[in-house]
Amino acid sequence: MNRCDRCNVDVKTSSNCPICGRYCGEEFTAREYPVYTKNRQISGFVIHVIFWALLAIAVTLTVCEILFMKKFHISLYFIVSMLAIDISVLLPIKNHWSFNGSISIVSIITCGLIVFIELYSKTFGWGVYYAIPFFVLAMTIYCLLTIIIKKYDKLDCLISLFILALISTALFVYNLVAKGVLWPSISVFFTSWGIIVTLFVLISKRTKKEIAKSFHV
Amino acid sequence: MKEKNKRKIKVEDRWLKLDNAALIYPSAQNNEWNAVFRISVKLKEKIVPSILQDSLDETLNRFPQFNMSLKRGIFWYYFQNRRTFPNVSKEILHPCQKIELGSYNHLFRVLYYDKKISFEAFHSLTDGTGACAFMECLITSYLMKCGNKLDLKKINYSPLDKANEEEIEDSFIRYADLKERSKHTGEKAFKLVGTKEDRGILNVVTGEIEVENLKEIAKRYDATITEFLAGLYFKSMLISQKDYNLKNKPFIISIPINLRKYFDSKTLRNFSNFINVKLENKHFESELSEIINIVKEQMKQINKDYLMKNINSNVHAQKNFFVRVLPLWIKNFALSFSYSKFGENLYTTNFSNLGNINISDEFIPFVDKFEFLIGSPKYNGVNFSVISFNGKAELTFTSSIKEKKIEREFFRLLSSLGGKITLSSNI
Ligand SMILES: [Zn+2]
Repeated sequence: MNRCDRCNVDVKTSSNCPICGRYCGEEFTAREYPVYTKNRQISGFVIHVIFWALLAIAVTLTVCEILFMKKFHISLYFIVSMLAIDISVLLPIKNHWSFNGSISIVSIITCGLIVFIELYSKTFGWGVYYAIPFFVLAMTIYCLLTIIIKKYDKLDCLISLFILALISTALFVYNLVAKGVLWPSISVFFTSWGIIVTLFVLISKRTKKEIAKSFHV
Repeated sequence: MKEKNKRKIKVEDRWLKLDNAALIYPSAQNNEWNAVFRISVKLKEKIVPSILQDSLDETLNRFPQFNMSLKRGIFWYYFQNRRTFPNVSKEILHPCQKIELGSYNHLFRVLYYDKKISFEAFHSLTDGTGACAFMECLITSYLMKCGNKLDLKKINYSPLDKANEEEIEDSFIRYADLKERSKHTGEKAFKLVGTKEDRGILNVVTGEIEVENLKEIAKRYDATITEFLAGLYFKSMLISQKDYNLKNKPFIISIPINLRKYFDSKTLRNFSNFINVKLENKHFESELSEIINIVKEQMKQINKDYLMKNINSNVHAQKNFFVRVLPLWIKNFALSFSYSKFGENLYTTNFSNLGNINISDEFIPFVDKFEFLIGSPKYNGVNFSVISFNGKAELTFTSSIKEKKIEREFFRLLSSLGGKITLSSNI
């Protein structure tokens, strides 16, 4: 076994003394820990790169528009979209948000973004009549497929399904009052609430227990 | 580390409230850190992963309370049992990496490397005693599956025993009488100075010494091993940090106390408290013997009354109506803030002595040693832990700072007092 005369200790697992660094020889037994590969946080690194790249593009676009075109048009779309991507995609990935949290934030932000584009481009209608209902329908079906394919617990997507159902209700009511195109929002309204009711029927036996878990004080 | 290829099992739906000591850890975590500790066993033969996997499955049938994930309720977190068993994995990263707390993640991991099996757990799940019980069952199962004969009657936690409800109880709630409470009047402690390692890097230095050798040295100071090591730890911190501005703040070592020694309990969840042992700056020039006497004096206050007051104080806070009805996100915010202000701020370092591991002598022919590692703290730099088995004590420093001054001073001092030390490390 190696010996470090400076520290007056035997050294079992390396040729250098671990506390003073002195070379003590080659008579050491097998390592007790692996040789580490660098645990690079690739997702964190990529998120930073995407964030700074988007920011750089937004700033460049804004400066170019103001300098050369003397107006503020395309760059505003880009800045708002960048904010939306930051909040709805980068933030949940960076903070390891749950499925419910990620789906909910993506849904709310995307719907908000569509409304903004509609209003800003003065083409109001296509979003609330068609784009948002079909988007909400797609997200609802995605949640349902996740439960079936990934064998998630039936309650694990409930919050996101509930938020999607609320959006669909708001759309339905708005389109009814504003006398807009009704059939897409009616379809998604009934689909989303139908799925929630079905899930509740399926878990009816354990509802009491689930409430006890979630609401225990 | 992502969990893959998990095997489904049929179990009844089971959920548990977090015990009193477990409540702080989920709130205190951040993106890169949470409270993880490790118990390792080094066997005399190389580990066979497939057998270890079977043993882990068997062990989880014995201890279903470990097969849990952490879920969010409206007011509190809770444990939900899992319908899958986790896989064992090869150790490739530094010890005590963050354990992700999602609904589909287990709260522990089992790793293997060469002859070593390591059990790493998120601290809400269990404490050192619970981890030792799990490890005893795991290696019993492993050794038997490898064809070795063990007398199961002599083993405390055999894989053939049935799961025991008493091991799942929250003993804090059972014993708290809420009569007298301790008044926490912590003061800010000195913070060890050093160059921080990147998050995820944990430097481990373990000194192996005969227990008799250590006892004999401690006896010279008329101290127990814990008192002596705490004194020596103070001295080595003082020597290694003397070049820095000590800022009139005291050095404080937080020492966990196993409450099972004072209150009868079979629980394998958290059931420990702690004492903060303080060294004022007027004693910074003191000799080792004086420092050990100061430690001894403070350790004398540990008795059932002292611990009961601490338990009452913690349980009282948990049972307060206004605390209970606060939504979880507000609790998280408040607990995270209080952890940064009143948690690690109130001590310089942790020193945890598990003592002689309470495990059967049946293992002596197969086991080389046990190790106990405390993961990197959130803000502080160095931890010190001790475990002994078969007459050998493993004194382990885990550190997230690059400099090795404290470890160096500690082992040089111990060696100068007659300690015969063998070092191993991951550096
Ligand atoms: Zn040395």
